[in-house]
Amino acid sequence: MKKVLILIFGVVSAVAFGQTKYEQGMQKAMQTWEQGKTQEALAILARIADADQQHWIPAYYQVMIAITQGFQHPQEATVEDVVERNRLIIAQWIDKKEAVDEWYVLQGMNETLELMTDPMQKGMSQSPIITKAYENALEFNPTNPRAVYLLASFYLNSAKFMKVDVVYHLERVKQALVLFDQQKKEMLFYPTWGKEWAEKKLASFEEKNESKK
Amino acid sequence: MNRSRTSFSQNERHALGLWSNLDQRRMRILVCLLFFVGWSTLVAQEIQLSGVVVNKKNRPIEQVNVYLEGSFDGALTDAQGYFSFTVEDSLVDGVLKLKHPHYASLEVPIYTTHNYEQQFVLQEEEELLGEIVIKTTRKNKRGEANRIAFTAMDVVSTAGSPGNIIGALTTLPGAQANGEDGRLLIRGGKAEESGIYVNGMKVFQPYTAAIGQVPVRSKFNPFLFKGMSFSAGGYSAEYGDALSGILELDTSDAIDSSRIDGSLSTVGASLGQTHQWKKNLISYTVNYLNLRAYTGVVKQRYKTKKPFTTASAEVVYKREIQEGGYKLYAAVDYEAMAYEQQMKPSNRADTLAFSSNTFYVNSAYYKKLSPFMRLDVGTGVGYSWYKGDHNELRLNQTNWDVNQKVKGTYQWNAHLQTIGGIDFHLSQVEITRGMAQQKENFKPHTSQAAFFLENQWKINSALQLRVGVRTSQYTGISKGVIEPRMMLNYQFNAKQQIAFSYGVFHQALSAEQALPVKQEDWMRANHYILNYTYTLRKRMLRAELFYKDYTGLLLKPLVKNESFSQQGKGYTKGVDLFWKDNASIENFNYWITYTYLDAKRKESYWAESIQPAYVAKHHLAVVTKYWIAAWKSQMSMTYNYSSPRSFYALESPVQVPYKSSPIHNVSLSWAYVIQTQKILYVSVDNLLGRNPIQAYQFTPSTQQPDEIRSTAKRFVYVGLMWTISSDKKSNQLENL
Repeated sequence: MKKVLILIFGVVSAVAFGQTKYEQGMQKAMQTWEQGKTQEALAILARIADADQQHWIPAYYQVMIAITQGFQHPQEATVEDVVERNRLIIAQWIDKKEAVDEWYVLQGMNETLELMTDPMQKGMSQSPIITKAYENALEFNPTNPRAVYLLASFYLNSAKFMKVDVVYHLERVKQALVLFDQQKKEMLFYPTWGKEWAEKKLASFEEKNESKK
Repeated sequence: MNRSRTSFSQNERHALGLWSNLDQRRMRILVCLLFFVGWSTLVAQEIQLSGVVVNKKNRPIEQVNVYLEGSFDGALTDAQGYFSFTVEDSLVDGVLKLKHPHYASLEVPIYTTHNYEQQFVLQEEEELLGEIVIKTTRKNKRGEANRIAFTAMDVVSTAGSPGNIIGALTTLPGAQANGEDGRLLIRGGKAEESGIYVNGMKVFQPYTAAIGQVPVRSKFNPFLFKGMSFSAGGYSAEYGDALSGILELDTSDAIDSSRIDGSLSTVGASLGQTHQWKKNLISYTVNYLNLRAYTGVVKQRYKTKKPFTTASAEVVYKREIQEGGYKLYAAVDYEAMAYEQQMKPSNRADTLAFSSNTFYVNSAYYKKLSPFMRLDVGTGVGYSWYKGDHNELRLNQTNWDVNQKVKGTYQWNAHLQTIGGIDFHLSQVEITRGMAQQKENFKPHTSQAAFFLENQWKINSALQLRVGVRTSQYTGISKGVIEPRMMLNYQFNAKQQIAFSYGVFHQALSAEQALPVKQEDWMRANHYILNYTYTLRKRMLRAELFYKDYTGLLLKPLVKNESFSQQGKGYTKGVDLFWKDNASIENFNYWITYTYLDAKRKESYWAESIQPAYVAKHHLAVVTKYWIAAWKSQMSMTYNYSSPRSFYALESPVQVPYKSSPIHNVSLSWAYVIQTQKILYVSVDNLLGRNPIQAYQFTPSTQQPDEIRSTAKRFVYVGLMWTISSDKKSNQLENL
């Protein structure tokens, strides 16, 4: 009996270990990222992605981190290389039809990063590419809060350069906030981020309106 | 389609940030796990893996991701290239991986029971076995130093060249255009000596029909072309039959989304539509231009009998296929005008009435046959028809041109790429000319066949060599020619490179030029170009020294009984300086180009070597673009300067030449973004309203040459452009 128990325990723990190895790795990567050690986090994600090439999550966060890192200093010379590398990864996963909406969201962000490298030259050509990416995301999943928010936010940001229906897009940000709360956790580490950004965006516009009054 | 689910469904509750929230069942497993792990650590020991990662020059590489395959433990190298991590095991048996985005990944089998320390050398990525790139999403960083790439935005946002590719090009080094002509001149060469290519195929009628002294424009809509690259000499063996240099235009490979573009301006209107479905894209633009209203308001120097009218259409069709693609570009246009101008000081009336039609189609197919082999098949067909009366001299001309090219590219390894192919060009022209009673009719045709072979060799990470050869045969010229071409590029570091190119270039007289002559030989030019480029974070300094010598130029004496010969010769030497800065001032881009040209030629009816009338010694262009966020506007200003040119009278070429005026041209443009994809565009050419003598025209009947000036002091253009993209706003709302 004891032997059997030990055997069961052994198998169960081995299975648990097998599962949690990926989880552990992802957790470690996320924690490292939260601590601000971006390069280390990217390195861990690269290792996970290498070990588990069927899984889109590690690649997703690699691209996501690379983009957000690029947003900090978009004028740096290396950013264009990063954008190019991201493009290849994004296109590959869109082709594999894995979480297509989330990848389109990243595509929109990645192309926004490209725009930020030289807004004067690239503004006109990049804008339709960016909005198209978010629209594609919404086509696959109209309730993706990130796509709803980022598309509206892109328009709101362009309000500086051209006439935009601000009221409509603020309304969309509010809808996004509702959708953020309705998110179901599809799977472990499935992206859920973005609510804070949307709240900030809304707050900043409401502040402006307040000051106008 | 819904989101895919994986086998992790039982863990759905565990989202990012929730991992502390383990339930009872998992707690129990965890206890077991701790027990299990604890038990195994009793027997395990630690093995330390460490080392240094360097490149071939023994310099440490930072940020290399070093780890054991399949495990998440590892380390990043520090500034000294050092890494270290421990594995809790008594035996390490696996593969150690070293990864860095700019280097080739290294995999080292590892089997050790003891601490392990090793030095690793990573190879730079480009030294690797490379596959052929089918789609370049952006230009190669280490592109050829002697080429300049520019985009549609560069063209439309440069003041003084609203939408005219050639206009924008003349603010870049090596290219000029004269005010009375408008065609592309490259470094002291004639307009006929520059080649213009679309998707690798030669374009036969790249300009609008010449109307007396009104400069011509390029026909291409810059937005249809993704990449434009200009080489002012020393170009690849893939191209030929252009003594001076080439301009390459490539329609983009990318399949964009559907949209409608329209524009309305003081001189006409255009409408374009892009429709995309699956892997196909069709895009067309129709364009109508009529100067009646404009010349009615703004006084011109000539008297319009029939206003200048153009109707044109361009179509692009693209299809993505497995590992390749197909691109079709077609353009058709009609132009007509009739005018009369009083020439000064002779008071002679200069009249011209013409109508013309051109049609051009260009098809390009490319496919990756194997990971290392690419095939390109291109066909270009051009037809043009022109009927005009110039001072009672009638000219009817019909041109047919066919260009067929097959090119193969083979990537032997990461260091060596070979291209090779054949290039045929057939052309036929029918000319009827003369007074109403005595007409002459000619119908010559020519054919040209060329073979080319070129190797692109990366000798090491800093040194790159392009060596090629082109051979050409031409009907009417008994001997063929062999043209060696080469370029050596040395990259000192990431910022600086130096390149030397040399090439032999031949050109045959075109069928119409060769009409009165029996062509015996090729015109030949040797190019020697030394280029230095310095780039630093969106700033670029580029200096180029060049020398070209010419032989075999056509001499056609004015005296009737003397015969034609191809004994003409000449040279051009000079320097180009180019400075472009997109970074120093926020929202402000500018570039400055200066060209010094020393050119002498003995050709045409000139008995001596003189500076040709189309050459100006000094050229300066300053282009500025400023984005004013508060006004939602882009303001752009261009200043062009050309020193006076020399014109020699027909009879006595050695006498003191007539000098044209120095040209100072300031142009201003203002683009105002009204709302999403709706733009108001205003541009003024020759803001200062100067009225220089652009050129002189000599006629046998008059003593003094006639002066050629611009047809109007200023050219003002006001246009409204808008884009309607397929909007999904409404149905997205319904989906919520």
